[in-house]
Amino acid sequence: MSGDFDAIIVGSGMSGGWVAKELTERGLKVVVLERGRNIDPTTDYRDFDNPWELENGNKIPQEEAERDYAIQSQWGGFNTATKHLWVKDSEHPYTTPKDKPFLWIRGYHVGGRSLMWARQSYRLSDIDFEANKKDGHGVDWPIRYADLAPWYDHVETFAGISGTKEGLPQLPDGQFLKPMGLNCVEQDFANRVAQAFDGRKVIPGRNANLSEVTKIQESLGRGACQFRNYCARGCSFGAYFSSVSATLPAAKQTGLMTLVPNAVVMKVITDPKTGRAAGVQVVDSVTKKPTTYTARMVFLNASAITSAQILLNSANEAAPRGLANSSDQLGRNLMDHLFGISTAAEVSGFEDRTTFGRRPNGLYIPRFRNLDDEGLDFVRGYGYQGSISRKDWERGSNRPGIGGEWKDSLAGPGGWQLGISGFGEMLPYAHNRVTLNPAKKDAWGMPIPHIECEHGENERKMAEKISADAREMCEKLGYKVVHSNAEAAEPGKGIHEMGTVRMGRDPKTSVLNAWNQSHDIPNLFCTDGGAMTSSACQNPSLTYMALSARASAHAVELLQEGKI
Amino acid sequence: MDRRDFLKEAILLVGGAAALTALPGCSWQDAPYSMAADVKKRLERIGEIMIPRTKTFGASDVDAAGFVEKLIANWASKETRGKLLSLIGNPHLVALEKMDDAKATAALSEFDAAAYGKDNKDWKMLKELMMLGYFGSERYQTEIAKFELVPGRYDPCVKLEEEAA
Ligand SMILES: Cc1cc2nc3c(=O)[nH]c(=O)nc-3n(C[C@H](O)[C@H](O)[C@H](O)COP(=O)(O)OP(=O)(O)OC[C@H]3O[C@@H](n4cnc5c(N)ncnc54)[C@H](O)[C@@H]3O)c2cc1C
Repeated sequence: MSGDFDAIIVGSGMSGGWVAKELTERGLKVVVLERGRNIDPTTDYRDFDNPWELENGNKIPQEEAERDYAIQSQWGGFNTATKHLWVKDSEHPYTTPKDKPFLWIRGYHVGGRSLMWARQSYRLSDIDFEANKKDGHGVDWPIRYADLAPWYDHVETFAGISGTKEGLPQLPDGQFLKPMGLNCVEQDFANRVAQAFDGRKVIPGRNANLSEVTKIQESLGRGACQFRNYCARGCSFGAYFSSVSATLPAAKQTGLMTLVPNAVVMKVITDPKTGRAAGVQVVDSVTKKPTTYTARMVFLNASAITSAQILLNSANEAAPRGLANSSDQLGRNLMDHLFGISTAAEVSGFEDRTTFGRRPNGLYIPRFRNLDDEGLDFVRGYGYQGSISRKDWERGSNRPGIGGEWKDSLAGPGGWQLGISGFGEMLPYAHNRVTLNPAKKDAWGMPIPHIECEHGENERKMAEKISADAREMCEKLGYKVVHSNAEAAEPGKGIHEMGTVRMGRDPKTSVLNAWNQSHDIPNLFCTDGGAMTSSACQNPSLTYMALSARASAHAVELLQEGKI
Repeated sequence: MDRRDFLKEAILLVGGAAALTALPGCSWQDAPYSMAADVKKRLERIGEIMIPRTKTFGASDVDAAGFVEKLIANWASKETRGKLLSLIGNPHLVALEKMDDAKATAALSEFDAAAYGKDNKDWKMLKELMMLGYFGSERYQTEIAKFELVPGRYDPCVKLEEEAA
């Protein structure tokens, strides 16, 4: 047994790193329990490998991919340079109904998926926080934009988000570093979209890459982006935000953090007398040796599906349905973003122009649908992400051609091509749900999650419109559409799982209150994607960060006031 | 000894080496694939006709066929390897060896066009691998594509000649 901590933090990923930083900077002694191995940037990052140095031309052997990475390998960024950051599906199984596939894309190591993310960072607005209340789907968020705005400021300033101020009510501006801007063809696209479509805007993506370095970032050893676009391999310059480059080093500087890798948290244990969280049960991932950690409060940051799994597995006599689950909402309302609805089009002109450097960012088209009542046959909205770039030699591989002339024609850059992909809001449905598989345990003795999740009518209608709107934009501008699909990928592929431990006003219909604190167990918090009451259509991690920082500050106050 | 090792021993004892490939989960025990010299020569011929020397170097100068050979050995599944090897043995492609370059170019061009018409996935894969072996090679990337590992800056709009200069 290992005690003497003020707080236990389960998971060192995007949200757990923030909790560690905020609690330690306020003087709390914390232990971060991380199921994965430690990450050493000097040996674990492959950002200095030239493309030709990567084994098998950066392709994972087919038999290995099929055997060990059946799910992860369906994600385009799974390759030789990044392989070591993805979980082996063969070692970390979960089940789904046969007819409802769910792609659970994960990384188990210090830093979690903050090492792997695409860094797109957008604020939610009151249009999002009020949506459930307005149209009756799910329950009302217990907070509004004004509650989170100062915390968005706080996390953006520390993390470093590049972007432009646009004055859009549906996508509030923030504390931005200078943008990683549009190229000339994207700028032309932006100008023409604004002219042709009322209320539509194309803006530079807002991304967590340091386009310039502030004092705080410098003090953590972070450097400016070198425009290699190898972020997914880990960045030796610490130029993109991750727990490893930013929050964990800040927590470490306080001297108050103990980080324990290879620690698989199995359940939260409670004090039978008070019903409060007393600590967690842990199994060492390598030796399988069990341990118990105790503390004055517990933060769950193991990501949406796993935090629900841990609480469900913590059922006891007083809480037979799972801990903190008097509402029966734990594990329910699983959401992801509609993903994979993409459009590609050839753009003529600008043949004498190109770009220099590899920008780790693209363009963004903020939500423009259902901002007012438009009479559409679905609720909520979507944005698009993508870019316009010149094709490279690979353009030669999908059409006939061989020989000298063909070869020489591939030497320079090819034509410009637009590629955009919609990110659509998914509604919370009680039947989209994570439960424990009663028959199967993983190698550490934890019942594996059973994930049941499907899109509904609203999602299907929205998917069609995402595709139709993208095509319309291209056609109206005279771009030649070469690819277009209107069917969303299986849920999970958006890698934005959320909602399984939702916040709400009413303890009868939600798991957490306005401070990410369990309604049932006051010293238990969850600030990962599980907490989200609705999904909005913006990439969610920035909101997890802001919620984490806000909840941490509040928890410290409660502790100091003797309330927990 | 686990069951798989036991089976393997048993198979070896009775001389049924061919059955080893049918043993589930045994692929790691197979001898590494090594390409026969005649197959390698055909692959090299396909490469030099597909991506010949022009004013710049060609596939044979960067051993693109050697790259494909390595991928067939180390990346391809048994199934993919079988498909690629049978394609390399296709009489139309074998025939390239006996033709002069002009004839071989015309023949491969025809084969390639027909393959796209029929959506011949194996040919598309072989072509992609050969292209990766050539265009992805260190020499191509450094001398022609002017690849920079650390660009250090982003310029959103450059005149093409300036970029080339
Ligand atoms: C390729 C990719 C691109 C993405 N792009 C974007 C983007 O552009 N914008 C955006 O907003 N989001 C993006 N995301 C999503 C983003 O990474 C996640 O939203 C975010 O990391 C979730 O934070 P988290 O703290 O909930 O979970 P994670 O970051 O996944 O961290 C969870 C941690 O908990 C650990 N853990 C799990 N189970 C246990 C246990 N039982 N005991 C102890 N530890 C445990 C894990 O090992 C992990 O380290 C992307 C993700 C991927 C993979």
